[in-house]
Amino acid sequence: MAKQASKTYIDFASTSVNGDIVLSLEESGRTTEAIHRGEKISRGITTFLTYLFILILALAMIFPFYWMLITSLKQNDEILATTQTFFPRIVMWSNYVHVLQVFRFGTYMRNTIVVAIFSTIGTLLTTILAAFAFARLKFAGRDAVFAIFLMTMMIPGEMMVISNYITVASFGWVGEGQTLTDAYLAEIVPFIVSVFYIYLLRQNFKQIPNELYLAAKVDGKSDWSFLWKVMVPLAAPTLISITILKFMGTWNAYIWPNLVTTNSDYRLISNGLRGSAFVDVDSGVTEYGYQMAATVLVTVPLFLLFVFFRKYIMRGVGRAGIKG
Amino acid sequence: MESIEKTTQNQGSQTGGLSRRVLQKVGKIELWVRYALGVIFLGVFLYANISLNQKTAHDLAQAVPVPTPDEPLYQETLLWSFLLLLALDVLALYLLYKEQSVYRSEKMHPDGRFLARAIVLCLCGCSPIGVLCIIYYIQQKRLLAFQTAQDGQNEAAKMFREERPSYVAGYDEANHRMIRLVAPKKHRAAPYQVRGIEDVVAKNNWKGWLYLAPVIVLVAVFLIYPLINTVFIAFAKNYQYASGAFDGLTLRNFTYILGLTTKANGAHETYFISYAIPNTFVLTFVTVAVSTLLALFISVALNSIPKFQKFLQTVFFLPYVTNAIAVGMVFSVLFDDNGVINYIFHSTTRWVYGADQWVAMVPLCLYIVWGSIPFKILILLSGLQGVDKQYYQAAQIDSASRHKVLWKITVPLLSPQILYIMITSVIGAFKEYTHIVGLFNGPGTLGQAGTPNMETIVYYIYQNLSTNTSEAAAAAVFLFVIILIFTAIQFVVSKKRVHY
Repeated sequence: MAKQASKTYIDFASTSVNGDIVLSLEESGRTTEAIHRGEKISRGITTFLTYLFILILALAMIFPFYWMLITSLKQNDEILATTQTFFPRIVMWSNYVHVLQVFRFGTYMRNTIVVAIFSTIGTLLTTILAAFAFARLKFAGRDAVFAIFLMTMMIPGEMMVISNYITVASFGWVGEGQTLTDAYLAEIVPFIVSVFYIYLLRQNFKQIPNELYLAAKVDGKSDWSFLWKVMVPLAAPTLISITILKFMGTWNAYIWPNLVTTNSDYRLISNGLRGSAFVDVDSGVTEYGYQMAATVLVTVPLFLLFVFFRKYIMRGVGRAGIKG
Repeated sequence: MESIEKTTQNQGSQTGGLSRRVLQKVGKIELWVRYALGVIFLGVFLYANISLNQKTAHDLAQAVPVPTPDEPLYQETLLWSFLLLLALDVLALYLLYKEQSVYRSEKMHPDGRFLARAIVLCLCGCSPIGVLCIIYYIQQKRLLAFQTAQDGQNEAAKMFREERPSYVAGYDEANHRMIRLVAPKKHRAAPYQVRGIEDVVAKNNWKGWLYLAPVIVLVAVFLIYPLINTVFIAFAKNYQYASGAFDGLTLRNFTYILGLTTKANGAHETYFISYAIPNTFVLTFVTVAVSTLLALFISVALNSIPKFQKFLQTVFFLPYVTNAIAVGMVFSVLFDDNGVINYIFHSTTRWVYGADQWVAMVPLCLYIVWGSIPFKILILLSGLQGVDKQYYQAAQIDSASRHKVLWKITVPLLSPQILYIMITSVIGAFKEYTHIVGLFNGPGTLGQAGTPNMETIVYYIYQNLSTNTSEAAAAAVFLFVIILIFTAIQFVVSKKRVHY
């Protein structure tokens, strides 16, 4: 009886899609336990290889950050030595002390924060109003205007920069005798509207059920108070995403501030970083330690922002992909 | 219906020559070209017309006789548009004629699309005349308004009062202003009556424009006007941005940046054609391909592992939240002559400072790939998590190989995300600028000194922006057209390959 059972085999050849599978317990001569074990081992090996692949690439991803950090803690002799060390021989903070004295971190920081706050507030205001109009109100020409807005999203920003520079110059914000206020205006005003964020928020507003609007109307609320009392709180996650992305954008802005300012005191943090010559006064050698200390100072605030608002940042960036 | 379609297709291919399908395709392309050209020309015309009008208004204020619009700029552009649109008209007429003859040979009635095309041709065929009419109309309107304003507002005020006696109106003599008092609305909704709330309140809500007003003003000033203006500057001769003066329209800016012609003073542009264009294309094709493939592998691997998935995903997202300039400086330290990369690989290659053009591409491409992977992983991973597990179970039953599962199941299912990534990253790579500044601190491997051998098209635009505005604008239009072509190609390919 037992012998007979071992000789039976299941033939999948007639039913398998590829027509190439013959599953035979008898022919292989292995028990089901052995097959299970084999499968387990091969799965283990695959998982191990997958982890190895991911870990190697993850290390490659982090390596620049690690190198930035340890270089900022090294002495210049050690940085320029022929044998590189993967951990500083002496951990020293003098690079940071020097950089905080030479690199006007405070000035750039203040400029960046002022520009970031005002452009974010402006963007939020214009975005909320426009998204509300596009999502909730019905009026003639709405869809046409929205279509035009969407079309502008496809046009590369470089097309606009040239004329925007001329426009800003004609407002008297750029050129000889530029004051700090002029510089701020030139850095803020062109960026207090973003078609992409309007689109993002409109999609979010559209998801808010119509019944809420009708209920608010029955209760005698105006559109205006409905927007601020109901819709804005409901769309808060998206608004937070927009705020953070806008902040990050200002922190990373390089081209435009460089273009519209004449005095380096009016520029933002990225400009300060690339514009400063981290050179030793006596020997004229580039001090990589100073450079890296400055980059650490610029990178750390972004990392802190990321640590605290990881969810919002990743959702804000990812939302773009889902909506395509 | 389908059978008829099929038979006509067969007949079309049998008759030889131009089949109906080919004609329809060509006709469609022609239609889109016509639309695009129409929009561009309308923009340029309106712009030229408005600047001309400003001049006439100015002359009127100076009590000079009104000049007729016979300036060379005007005539040149008019001639161009006339010829182009006329050529298009001839082409369209020829196509329609051909198509009709095909229909006749097949004993078929033309379908709706054919008629629609014929109607569009009738309307747009006379587009030069239409444009002329619009310009003339605006001109007349402006002159009229100016003259009436000068003739005296008393007359207008009197007429206004006589025509509309129902208004309680007055005329402020001192300030030359109409004072208009409007009576309250007659019909008010009865109290305690709630009906058709949405229809009455939300429809035709003129307040919508109020909500939109700030955005429309900003978009008009900083998005739409610059777009038209940049196209205009790209075609303007001897444009000076400070005064806005120019001597007519020309194609010379384009031929100059492409190295085909020289300037009047003998200046000859070589950097754009020898550095900017090849660099931009190499960067785009290398970085987009490498980073998309890597991101695909990483996200598939991340999706398959049981533990630490969230943590590793965060690690891979880190490069997204960095300052491009700062990390560029880090990469230049990594790839320094005495840097860690040379130390690990025991080489003495000069990667960044003083490097050869194509050697310097290596750190640059690595840096761009490093910086662009996070976004792609995020998108691909969210796509992977939405994939139905049944596909993989079916593949397992058929004992499909890992390789086959990846390319026959995962990639086709992810194709919408991949298309999105490809489009955004191709556009992004064509606009490469910040990474170069971060890595090289200038347009070339010698920083601010030396030849700009790492220049890209966008770098060229920014370098020439304030000194040679017209050339920068021409380069921007050039870039725009390239991006448009590539996006269109991607969409056409996606029609066949993307499965939604």
